[in-house]
Amino acid sequence: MSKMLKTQPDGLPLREVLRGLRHIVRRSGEAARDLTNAIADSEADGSVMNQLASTFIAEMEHLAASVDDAASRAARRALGVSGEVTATLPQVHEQGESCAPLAAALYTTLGMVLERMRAEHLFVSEMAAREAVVRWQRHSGSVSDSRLAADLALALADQRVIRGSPAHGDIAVQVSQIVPVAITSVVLWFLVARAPNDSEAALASAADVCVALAARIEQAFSAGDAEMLTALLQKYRNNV
Amino acid sequence: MSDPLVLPRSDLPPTNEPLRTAARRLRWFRAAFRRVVTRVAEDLGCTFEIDDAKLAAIFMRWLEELDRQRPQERAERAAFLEFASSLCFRALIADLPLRALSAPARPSADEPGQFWPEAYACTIFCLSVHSAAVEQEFHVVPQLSPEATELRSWWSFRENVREDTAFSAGFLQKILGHEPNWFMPDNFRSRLGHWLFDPEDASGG
Repeated sequence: MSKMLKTQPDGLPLREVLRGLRHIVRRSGEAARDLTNAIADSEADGSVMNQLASTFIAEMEHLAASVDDAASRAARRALGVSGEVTATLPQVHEQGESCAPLAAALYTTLGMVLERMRAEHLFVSEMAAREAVVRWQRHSGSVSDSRLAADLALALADQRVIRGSPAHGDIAVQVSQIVPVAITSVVLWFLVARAPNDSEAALASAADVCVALAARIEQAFSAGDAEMLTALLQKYRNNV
Repeated sequence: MSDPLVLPRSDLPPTNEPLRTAARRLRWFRAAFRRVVTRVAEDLGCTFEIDDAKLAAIFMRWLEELDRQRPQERAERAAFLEFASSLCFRALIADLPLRALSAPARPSADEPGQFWPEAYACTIFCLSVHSAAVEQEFHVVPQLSPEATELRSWWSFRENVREDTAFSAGFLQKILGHEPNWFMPDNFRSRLGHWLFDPEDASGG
């Protein structure tokens, strides 16, 4: 594991494990319910097993939601606002503070974007986000804001910040476009100045803009073409 | 004084940016569309369902069209600002992003809102944003043609749009008091004569 993990004081590995377990539970939850329902139909003690399975899933959800809430609050505090994340990516980069708050914000917003794209069953790794941010923070030299965002997007993709495979076909984009579009949506949103009361609307707009650009975004990611992605971000950052 | 069909600026979402800039942001565009549709629904006595994904796709197609047609010359900026609303209207009519869930209960039978509620809501949206932006930029209140409320015009509009959605751009230009080029109503370069508003007109108005 990375050096960074040895010095983390904030329980990220535990959160990641809990989220991983929740992900597995969610993915297998339907199958477990189907199985216990079948047992309940045929055997007397099936209903007890069904109840146990449901209780376990609910407990897992509750536990994971609690750590998510705590991490989200910490991220918001660290980014300088109490209610919503309003700092832009260039501001965060310029401040050069710990990568943890940005990674936590990326985790939260990626989850929201995936939900909007109807791909919420995919797993978002905050640890991978943190690794990507560490690499990105080391970025030296003066580059444009859009290039900063493009570099972060490609670093997030390299670290496989989004994992898993889609569970159903009702997704807003093609399967191969989910990861590039979700990541680009979040970095585009991070480029945009936004007030606390329209931060969520801005994220939804960024996601919708990127869904419309899915083919071009996928092309940039496939080629690892930071310049192409920079050009897209630059062109559309004023349309979110 | 603005036309009663048009929503006042104060009814559109607030923004610190010029309206011509805000309208090219999806979050403002979407919020404005929702507000106008809500107002129209109240006026007509019906309920609309908005397809958010469709509206976003329409917005993006409109941006692409603006990019394709935007003139280089600064002198044409004002005319293009006015023309832009007819391109937006065309994009909305070509793929209506809303659906009336019930028939309008309030208007009399000869009103356009009763005849085609979805297109009527899109018309009010484009006219409202257009009027507010033009007034903010040039301090002139656009005057609407009586055709905006004539059912005969709406019959013709609906029939022609079935053949070619570009007709809708001309329909909005006509409502705004201009003579469209009916062969290519959605092409800025092909517009006829000196019919679009420009800064010289503004100083006289």
